[in-house]
Amino acid sequence: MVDYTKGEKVLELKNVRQYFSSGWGRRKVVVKAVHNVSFDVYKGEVFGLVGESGCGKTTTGRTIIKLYNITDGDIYFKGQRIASGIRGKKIAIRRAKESILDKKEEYKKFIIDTKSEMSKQDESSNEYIRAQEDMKNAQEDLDKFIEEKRIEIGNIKKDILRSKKDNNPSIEFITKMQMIFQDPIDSLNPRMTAREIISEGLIIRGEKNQEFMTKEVERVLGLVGLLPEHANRYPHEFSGGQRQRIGIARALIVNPELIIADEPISALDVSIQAQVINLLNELREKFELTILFIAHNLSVVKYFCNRIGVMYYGRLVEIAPTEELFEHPLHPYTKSLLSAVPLPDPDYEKHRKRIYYNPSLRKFTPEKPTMVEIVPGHFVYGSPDEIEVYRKELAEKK
Amino acid sequence: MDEYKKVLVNEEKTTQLSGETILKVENLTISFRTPGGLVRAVRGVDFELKKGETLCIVGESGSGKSVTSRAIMGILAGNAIIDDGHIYYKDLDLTRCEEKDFYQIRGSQIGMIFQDPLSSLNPIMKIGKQLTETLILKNNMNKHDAKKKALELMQDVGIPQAEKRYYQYPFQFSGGMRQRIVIAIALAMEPEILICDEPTTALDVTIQAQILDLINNLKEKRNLSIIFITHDLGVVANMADRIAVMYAGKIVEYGKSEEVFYDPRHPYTWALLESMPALERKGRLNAIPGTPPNMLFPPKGDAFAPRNRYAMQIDYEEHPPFFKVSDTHYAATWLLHPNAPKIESPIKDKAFTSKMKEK
Repeated sequence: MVDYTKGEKVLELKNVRQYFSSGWGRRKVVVKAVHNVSFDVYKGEVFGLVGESGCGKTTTGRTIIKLYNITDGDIYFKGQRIASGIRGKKIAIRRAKESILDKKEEYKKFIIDTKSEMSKQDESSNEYIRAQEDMKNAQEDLDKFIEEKRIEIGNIKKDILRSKKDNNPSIEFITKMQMIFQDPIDSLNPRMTAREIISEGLIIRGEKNQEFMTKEVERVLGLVGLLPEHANRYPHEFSGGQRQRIGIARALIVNPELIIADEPISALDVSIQAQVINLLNELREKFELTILFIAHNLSVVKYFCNRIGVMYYGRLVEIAPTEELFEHPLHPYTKSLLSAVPLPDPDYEKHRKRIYYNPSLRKFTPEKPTMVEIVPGHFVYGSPDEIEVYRKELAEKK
Repeated sequence: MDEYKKVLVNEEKTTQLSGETILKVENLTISFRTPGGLVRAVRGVDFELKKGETLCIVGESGSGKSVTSRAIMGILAGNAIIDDGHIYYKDLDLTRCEEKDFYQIRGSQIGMIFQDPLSSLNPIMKIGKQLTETLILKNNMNKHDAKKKALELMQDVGIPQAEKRYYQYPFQFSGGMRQRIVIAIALAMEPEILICDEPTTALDVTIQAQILDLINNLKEKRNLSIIFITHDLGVVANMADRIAVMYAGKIVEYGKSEEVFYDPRHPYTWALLESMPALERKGRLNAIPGTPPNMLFPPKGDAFAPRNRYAMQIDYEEHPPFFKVSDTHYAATWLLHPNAPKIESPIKDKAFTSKMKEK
């Protein structure tokens, strides 16, 4: 097994949040689809993102490729920030403003108190002079504090401007990242021929040379195992597996470095699934592609991915290399997920024990749970007490 | 049930059912009229369902497994023609049964669960009403009794707070819960046979495991006989007592679950098992080349031959009959013919069976 984690980071997510809101005023509902997710994807590896439906894995993929406007956090692609949310920054500004108001309030109170004290005293007494000095000091303190906060707010505002600029990277750069969608029927425009669908990426990049485009289309069609004459057909003339190949060809034509594959095989037939996985494997070796593979079929993920991140209700609960995760799953949700994978073996199936995960059994702790690296490369999400339990468990197993 | 008995008297005795067998399908052939011509969806299928067992029908989409099950339920599309064959249930031949007689069987004797729980429930009708609808219509229950029974059913299929859920709409349920409701509706009339048409394909693994457990529990509790249709071999291993593998409208191999998984004989079964990434191995997957045949023009001979590594000349010329492997295990492949070359099963020495047993 090659250890990709020593290499270059292709994709870096830092505290990414994606919220969706609907309704206004009192009826406003905010759905926290992705909640503080951080992970890195290294060059050449396949990073799997698994979890049940509705856990936010698809949303994460779509946020990375900027189909959604990110709510908070930063995404770096090849070291350059391509998406940056401003929600956290706005909150920081609000906090700073509030702290200024609080400080002012405090100061006013102090002045009133000291003045009432002073009125009782003689004007030449020591206390009176000291109080006057106190007031002066307080005034200076306040000015200093406000100045500091103003600078802070100014910095955050500059940062927001920078974020807004970073959110519009150049087309040449952002198209190095491509996506393969789940449903090969819905993701292809039925009114466009395969050639138009595949060459669209080049047109968006500003390519006008028809001859070059035809050549490129034929090249990628060959790569995905289709024939040049397929280019003039419409999507409905293809079978499911072929349609997914067109989806892959469309992603490949711009020579991407990162491919986000959103459940590319779950809509395909059993006998076709293996073909598409083999194709992705070949292409990955040929072009040194990095793949973010989103799936809920764990057996495929196990076969295909180098590292796996398990998501549950918008949070990443465990990240580990594939072997490590399947041999020593630590988070209870990962365990229940692994125990649910059906295997083609009747003896095993009849004696298997399923583990059910019930999050309400989790003990409440005052400390916020965090992502902790238990052994190198293996991260688990939990409160300090839980992490201690996981550590013991791992030590016993090994 | 009086009307049902009347039907029995009128019907001529065609039954061939013996002992344990509860349903028997004989040489079932179904085509669909389409603008392109006749699509031969099912081309001579034979199987029988024994009391209390789970029969899994495995195959990819278009292999005719859903059509077979729909024929048993009598809910084939309007353009379907049953060319030939019989489906024997009790004393009836379901292929020759009239709609007014079928009405007595459908739902009350044979229940069915569909793939997509969202589209099989009415979105603008409360769950309670959908559950009690059959009870009131068919059992002539009054509303009060029907509600009591419906709540019982909801508890049986594991829906918490049934009283509250009774008044909710399908969109307020999650996918797994919806499928539980569909199961409850199918079981409302206490059928003998339950047909599950890919009930877990639309669900993810954890929910799928729960639903499979539920179906297994209900089967034991109510002594159901189940026809389970799926393309997921992992699910099959979990559920099946017996397995029938279908390809291009024909059953190519059938036998007990252990026999088919540990000693498969048909090249298509080999290929299916080989192409599953669940096996404990790395390297290239042995994908099945090509695509399933176009059933507008069903191929001559063995339909799997063009995709088969081990195809012989005769596979292209004549369809193989069933060869006996054991008393319960049959496979339709010329490789089992005494004159055929001996070919080792490619998955025989693969690690997955032994490795799993160790665990």
